[in-house]
Amino acid sequence: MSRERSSRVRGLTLVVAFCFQWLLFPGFVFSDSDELEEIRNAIKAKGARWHADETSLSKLSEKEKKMRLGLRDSEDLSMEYLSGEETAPIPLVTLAPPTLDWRNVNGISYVSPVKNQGSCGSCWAFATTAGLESQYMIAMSGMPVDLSEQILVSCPNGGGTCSGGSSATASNFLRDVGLPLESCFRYTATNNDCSNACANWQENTYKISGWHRASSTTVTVDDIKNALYAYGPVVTTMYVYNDFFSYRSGVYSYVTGSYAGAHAVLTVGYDDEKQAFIVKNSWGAGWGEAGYFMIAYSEVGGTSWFGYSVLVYDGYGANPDPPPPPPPPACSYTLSSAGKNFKASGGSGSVSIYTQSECSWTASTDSSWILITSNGSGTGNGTVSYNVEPNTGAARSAVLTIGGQTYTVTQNGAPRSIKKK
Amino acid sequence: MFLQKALLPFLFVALSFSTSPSFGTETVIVNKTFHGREIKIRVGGLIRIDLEELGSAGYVWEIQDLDKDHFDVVDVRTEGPPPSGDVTGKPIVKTWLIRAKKAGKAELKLLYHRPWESEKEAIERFFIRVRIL
Repeated sequence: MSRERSSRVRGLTLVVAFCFQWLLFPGFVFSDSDELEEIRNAIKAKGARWHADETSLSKLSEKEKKMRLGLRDSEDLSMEYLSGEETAPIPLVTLAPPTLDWRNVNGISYVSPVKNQGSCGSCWAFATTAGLESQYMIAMSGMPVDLSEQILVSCPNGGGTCSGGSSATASNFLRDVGLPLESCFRYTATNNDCSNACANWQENTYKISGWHRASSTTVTVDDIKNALYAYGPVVTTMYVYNDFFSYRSGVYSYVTGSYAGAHAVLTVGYDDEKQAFIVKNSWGAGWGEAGYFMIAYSEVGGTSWFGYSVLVYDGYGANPDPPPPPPPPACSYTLSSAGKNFKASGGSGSVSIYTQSECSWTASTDSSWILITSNGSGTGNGTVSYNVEPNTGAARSAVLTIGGQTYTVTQNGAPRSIKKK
Repeated sequence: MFLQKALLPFLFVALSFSTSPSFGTETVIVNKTFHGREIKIRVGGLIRIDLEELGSAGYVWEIQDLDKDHFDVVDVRTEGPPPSGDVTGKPIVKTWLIRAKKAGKAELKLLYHRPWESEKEAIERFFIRVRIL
């Protein structure tokens, strides 16, 4: 009886203590310690496969407690999810290779360089823009392109602001409006104003042809792999916890720390042997592995809930066509000398031509006594060689035309024979 | 009867944690608008600091050079993950609960930066002067 009463008291104690906690911190729960040593210990204890680096945060002695509350209701589901605007789901791919890295497919990268979102909540803009850049690069055999994230942050219906945004809304914008080049509206890490973009930017934009979700239900590891293999890099969301800031290398999996925010990234590959995805972040190249991280398959549906939303881009939108490449620079040609004189006995000579590496040229002559012996044409710098035949007559001259420039060859006349009377 | 006996002590403790300094333990709630200001608190009282941070961009607030003679960090916490959906990049509120240990004058300083970057790269700083009575 006494034990039963004691148990009831303990139960009530917990209930009241819990309520008391909420008196001071409504909406919060307490979290665990987050010191570097504890992260490292947690990595060891949990058999995680990543390396944590020292940070100024991790040097603190303060206690941070882990927050594990997950209120996952449906109120924040995007309208796009419900409206069915996206295209049909991908077909199942059963022959996906054991590894795939869009940064290196037969020696070609289809992923643009790592960028830095700064102190602006624009991860959604960086992830979606990076997805479009990859689709363009895939369509254009790896030709790089740098598009403007700032358009999404600043312009109407772009998807959000520096206080967060929707990847789905941004993807609709990439499909329907598209993005101009970065040079049109450079990133400022502020909300900025759309009017500061270059004039008539809507007339020359890059687009995706469409997008869809990797799965209409809960996303699985295979859903993400199939999408990567069939379509290219995919826009992925995840929860960031404090241990993630200390990630330096290896395969990340949550070990400790409190919730820090919902984040959007671009998944660019996977490795079955390491049981991990390869992911491009937008925190600059100074974080993680040159701006990238690997995350364990087990985090799909795990604490960091990697892939709770995965958007797949169908391809590069060819309408309108991509802007034409810039015209080649005008070519200029210079010869190493203006000409050369030869004795009547003839001989050989050469002249160098200097021009831009992409500029072509030809060498020709209207003379029958000069023979071009090598490099009658070329591209960029080059040297033209020629022979001059012996001259039995009077002095003569001829012209070599090389890259439109004139090179004059003169030759002495044959010596006169003096007859004695 | 049992409920009264069990709950009364807790109700008393809960009330004592109100912001009124007339009770045993006071809690002073501080936010960004208090930057540079002075607050007064009794020994044993709690300072709750609420600051918004953008963890999804890698930026966090952290206490700098904690004066351990005067303060104890009782707890640090953040709000929970949002519901599922496509919205990312929203700031969250981080909350510190700090106990005043000893009478005197002290400062609480925090800086806002990316943990893997140097403190010099901090983009914002916050401090309050605390008079502990």
